[in-house]
Amino acid sequence: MKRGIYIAFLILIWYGCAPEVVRTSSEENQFALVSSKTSYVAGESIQIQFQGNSASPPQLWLNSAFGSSVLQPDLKESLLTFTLPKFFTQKSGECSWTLVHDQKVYAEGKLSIGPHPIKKARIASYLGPRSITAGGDDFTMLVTVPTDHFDNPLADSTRLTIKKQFTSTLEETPIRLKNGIGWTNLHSSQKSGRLLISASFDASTSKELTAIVHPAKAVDFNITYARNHAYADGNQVITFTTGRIKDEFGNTVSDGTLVNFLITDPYGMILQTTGTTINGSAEGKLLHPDKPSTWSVTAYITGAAQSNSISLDFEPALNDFKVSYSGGGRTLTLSELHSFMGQLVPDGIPISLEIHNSAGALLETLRTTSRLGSAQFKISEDFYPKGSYQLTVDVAGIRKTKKVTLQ
Amino acid sequence: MQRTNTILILALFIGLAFHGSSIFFTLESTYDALIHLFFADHYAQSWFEPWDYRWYTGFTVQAYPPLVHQAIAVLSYIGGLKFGLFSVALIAIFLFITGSYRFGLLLTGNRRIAGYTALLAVFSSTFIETLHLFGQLPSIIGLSVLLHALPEVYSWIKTGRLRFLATSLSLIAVTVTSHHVTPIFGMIFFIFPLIGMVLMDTAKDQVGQYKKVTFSLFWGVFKRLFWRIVTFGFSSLVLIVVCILPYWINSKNNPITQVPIPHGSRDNFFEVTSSGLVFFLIPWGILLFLLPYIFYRFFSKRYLFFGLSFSLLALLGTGGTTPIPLKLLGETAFNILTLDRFTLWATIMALPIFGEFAYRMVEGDLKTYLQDRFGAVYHRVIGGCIAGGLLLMVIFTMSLNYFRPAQPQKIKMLPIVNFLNQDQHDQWRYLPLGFGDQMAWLSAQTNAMTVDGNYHSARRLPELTTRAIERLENSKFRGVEGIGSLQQFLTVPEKYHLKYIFSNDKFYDPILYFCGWQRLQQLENGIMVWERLNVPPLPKIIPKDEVSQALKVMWGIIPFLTVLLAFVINIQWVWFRILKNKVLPEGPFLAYAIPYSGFAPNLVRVCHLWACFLLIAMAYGTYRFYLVNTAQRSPKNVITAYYDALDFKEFERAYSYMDPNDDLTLSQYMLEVSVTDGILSSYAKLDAIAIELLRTNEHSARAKVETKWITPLEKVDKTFYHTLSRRNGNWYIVPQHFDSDLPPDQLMTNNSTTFFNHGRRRITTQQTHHEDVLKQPVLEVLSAKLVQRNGGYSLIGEVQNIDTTPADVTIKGTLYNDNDVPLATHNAKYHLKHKLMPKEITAFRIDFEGIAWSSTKDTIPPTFDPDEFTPLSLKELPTKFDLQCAGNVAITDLYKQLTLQDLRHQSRKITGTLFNSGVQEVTIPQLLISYYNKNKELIWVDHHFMREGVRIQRKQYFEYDLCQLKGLAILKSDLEQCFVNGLPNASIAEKIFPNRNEIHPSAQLQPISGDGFDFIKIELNSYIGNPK
Repeated sequence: MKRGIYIAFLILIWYGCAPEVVRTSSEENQFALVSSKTSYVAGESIQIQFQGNSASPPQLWLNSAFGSSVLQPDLKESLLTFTLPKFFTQKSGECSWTLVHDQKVYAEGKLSIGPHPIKKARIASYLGPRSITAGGDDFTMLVTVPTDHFDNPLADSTRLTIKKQFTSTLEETPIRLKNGIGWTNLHSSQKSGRLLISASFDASTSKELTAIVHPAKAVDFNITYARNHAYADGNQVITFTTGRIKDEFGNTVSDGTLVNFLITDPYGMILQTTGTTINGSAEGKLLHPDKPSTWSVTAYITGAAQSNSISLDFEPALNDFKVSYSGGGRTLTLSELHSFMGQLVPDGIPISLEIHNSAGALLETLRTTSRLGSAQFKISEDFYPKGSYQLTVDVAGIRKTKKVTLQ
Repeated sequence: MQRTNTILILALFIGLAFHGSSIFFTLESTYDALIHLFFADHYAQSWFEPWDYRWYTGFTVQAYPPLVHQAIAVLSYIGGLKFGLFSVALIAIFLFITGSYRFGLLLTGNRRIAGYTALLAVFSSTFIETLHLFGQLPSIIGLSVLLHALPEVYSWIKTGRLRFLATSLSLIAVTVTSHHVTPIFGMIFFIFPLIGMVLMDTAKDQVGQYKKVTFSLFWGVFKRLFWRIVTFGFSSLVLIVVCILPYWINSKNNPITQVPIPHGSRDNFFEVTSSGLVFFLIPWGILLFLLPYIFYRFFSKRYLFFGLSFSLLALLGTGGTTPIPLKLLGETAFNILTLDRFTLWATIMALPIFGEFAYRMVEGDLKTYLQDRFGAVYHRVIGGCIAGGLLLMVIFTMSLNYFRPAQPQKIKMLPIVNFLNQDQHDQWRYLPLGFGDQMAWLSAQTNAMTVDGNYHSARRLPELTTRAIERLENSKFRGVEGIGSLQQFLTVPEKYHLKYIFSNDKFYDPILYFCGWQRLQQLENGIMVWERLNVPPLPKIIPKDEVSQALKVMWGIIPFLTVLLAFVINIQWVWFRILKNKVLPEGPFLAYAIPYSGFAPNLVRVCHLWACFLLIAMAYGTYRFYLVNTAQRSPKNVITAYYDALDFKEFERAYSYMDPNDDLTLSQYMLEVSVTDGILSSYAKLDAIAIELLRTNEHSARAKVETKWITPLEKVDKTFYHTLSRRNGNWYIVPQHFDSDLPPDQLMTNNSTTFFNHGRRRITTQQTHHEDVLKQPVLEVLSAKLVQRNGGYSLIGEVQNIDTTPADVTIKGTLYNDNDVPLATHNAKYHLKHKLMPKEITAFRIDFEGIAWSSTKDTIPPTFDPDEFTPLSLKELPTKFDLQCAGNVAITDLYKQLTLQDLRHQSRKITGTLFNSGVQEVTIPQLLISYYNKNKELIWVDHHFMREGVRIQRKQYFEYDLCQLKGLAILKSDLEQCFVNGLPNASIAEKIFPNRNEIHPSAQLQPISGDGFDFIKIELNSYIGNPK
């Protein structure tokens, strides 16, 4: 109960001290627009004037692309002058105003502010993609947004000039702005190279933009080979080289293009080497085979181009060798491995020894390499107990078979 | 007037001088200290915010009691983090020595013995190990404060004076906020026996002698003091819950549902002797010799409860040596707790008894007895032996880290911190590899985030919690399992916004390369920075787990409040004690000191017997060690030693095991070993070795050695054969001779195109200027198929770089069911050449890996599968897929000069030779083998890592077992849903690469047919370990 009294008392004080609400009749106020200009240029000073009187001054509610604001007038006798702040006058586009007094709208209007025509324009420009393919199908797109000093987009249909430099030619193309943007597609030429592009408007120009025109798909090409001799000694490098690979427009393909050299051997297996082009030419290297062979070589840029096929033969480097058995047949010594001039074969000729059991089944292939024209195998007791075996030695395609009884 | 205890002063003096100066050389290389430093850095930056984004894609620091971290943080405002760390460590040392003194005084009631206890505490190997090897500051502080609390608890129960309740509770509160496990187990193992002792003492007061204390009397005393015990017990419980309430709430919300991480303290110490050393021998140290005395004293009537507690602690501390700890603790607790803490508590509990022994030995009845019985010399010798043993353990423990460093060399962090701060590199997550616990120090210095972390209880990503790995950073030590976890992050880095890897360990290089990473630069400190292209930066807003404001405030305020309160309550007495301006009441426990008159002769005998037994056991252990580890005593030993030497790259030692009668010289051997490169010789860790002697006699032997190696890419099994010979009683390995192949040319030339991308040409802190952004190279997907093989689903296909610049390729595949609901997403890992030259083609395969053992209930295989792979279990059948390929301009790892020669097809395998025609040494060659059906359509893609590298202009022979593809099903073959750089494959390909020649690819296939296929294609990928 006591609390209720307190609350009632407080409410009484609250309302007792409240200011008196003054009600004035709005019908008495009249405001007439004095300024009649509705079209301005960005940056120009703008004043909106009204003739009228009221006990308290009205307010002007402004709304433009920049945002909204409320202005208070300068009062001179009965002339009310609203001066628009700079940030409204510098923003191009439509600016609407509403004269408000005491929650009532007295007048409304619109101003149109155009971009500043004289002050130096700036051109924001974007180009992409930065690299395109030669031939005319591919293109890069230039987008420009020229703006005036106050960063307002220029009016539609404003004419811009696009300049394009390529090799020794310089082209100019006019474009017109639409919705503040000027754009064009720049198609590639048939030649590869560097395309420099700029846009200009009156005295203003954009920065320099670059697009690279890369060569198009390669076309078929030729290959050749180079080797020191034609012997299959397994110790020389043979080099396959492509001619200068070009695209259909005569441009040299871009550096680093991968060329696959595929070599088909007499067994139908495909040996592989790869090269990447430098100045249009790629090299692939392989080691000579270690036994006589015939290679058929074709190179590919897969999906795009292929070369002619060339065929080459390798003659035997080694004609014969000696095999001797010792240590109860467990040590095989190969000697007199002579190459084509009668010299010792280069170190590292691969030699294999196939061990078959007496029934002819392959048990194991041992491998070694030659050193100073000879080589040795030891057949371990751990794996091959005493008994009869068939041993086949293979050096550079020459096979020698012997039945041996291991002790 | 109380006299100043000179031994205590001496102990403090020596302790602070010895530990205080050595922490500067040990603490930073301990396991835990830097982790606490990182937490401290968190509090220093944001005291009240528990969420830290820097580890584990975000975690809460409420997962660890904060007091020590906050203390370091506060001190860091004065002199930096490390100043804070060392200051807190000094405080810990001080608290531990004084705590031991008070514990000694409580137990023995004798100031002199308490002094001895404090002095022995300084040199106790368990303390040295905990501080200087493990760096467990919160544990030490928690335990020390608990030791300080024990006399107060005793006094409260004994006297019932409320001020003792206040002092004991205030100290318990400090313990709680510094370490959570200590008060919980401290209650059981320290307070319970203490209560038993109080009851015993009170009962003795009634009857005059401990002998006359009967159970009914004891029970009566218990009932009388029941309410004091309950008051204390209940209040402590409240403190344990309230003081770190946010911790408990966090534990409940984020229960530790992770696969247990193996810890050495759970090993069988006989099997894993290194764990036995670190977790048993070192902490016990010289105490082992005194065990009979310790048990004898602890099982006297007064200490009976301590005796029980001590026995239990000692037993639990033996880890997996006996099955008892597992049964006592249960599976869960056994696997979460590190059992070394039980040993720590047991050895600390034994300190007063050790002090008592020392007292009796130095100036008490034992001295008299020994001198009378065996003479003065014997007493001195025994004393010298014990003192010498103690010193030996101290030196051994302190130097352990020097001889067997637990951490990699100290890394200078500044270059890494600078790198992360430069050029917006901290907009991505990073991952350190091979940093050890120093990763915490790196994290503390930067605001950049990592997916890894160093406090494994706070891990959140299932990729981490489902694996028994502590950190990704040291995943190689967790074998294939660790590497498997790392792979998941490396293969799909964009999921974690992981772009940079700092590698301090060359071991990880191959896995990084084959997962598509590239080397960026080597920093001044030798750390290699690896980078992955096509990873988006972190979003501006990252999710976090929010906790209520009240909990944050509690967490920020309570810990320091407990310290302040404890200070206010206890400090008065401390001052009185130090300044001696007021006579203080004696602790009630001082009344129970016993006179030491007459050492039991039987005990001396038992002690002697025990010592003899231990010495014999040690001698036998040493002998066994000699038998197993003497390198050339037997054929098996020399092979083990040889492979050990190879594993650690100690080539000179390996050479010393070579037969001296062979004409192999050291320089020749070094030359031959040093030129072999490849995954086995450069990146493998020997995991297991099995030696079988095929034949052996007096002078020679032949051995088959089966080795298992862990490599970053796969597990490798390889069998070697060795012939051994015996010369002058030592066994030697007969050397095998190396390939004698000579490369064709002495000097060779090679031209190639190199590329460079400026990145940002304009130096700006803004986003990269749009002119400086290169166009993404265009790729074309030539084929894409969803196949099912052996129950798993894979996406296979071929991709060509159809642009004019080299491309780094990322391929991401998603599987959908019939209703277009995505089922799984993954990236191509090994089955892809990640770097393509213009017009180069690669086959690819995406395997859909599940997160291994994603529910922890899955049984974890006891041994890990070589190719760690968890097939995804899909709830529904995938019927559709899409492929998102992204190309980015690549400028490195473009070596293409490996060639394929001498290819042969033999029934189920192919053999051939790789020849390196370029000028870079290929460390790990990879074969990508694609299989085709008779219509020359792709059906499967496989890979093969070669074990040896290919040196320049040299050959390397290979053998590959062809896959068996019977039963393989192609579920869908479709190019419709393939996208390149976000654009549809077909239209972009038509524009860049029109009129494709379809015959070329089929002309390049090898006509090799086998089980379910008719053609294959072999592509080569080369990893270059040391680009020149």
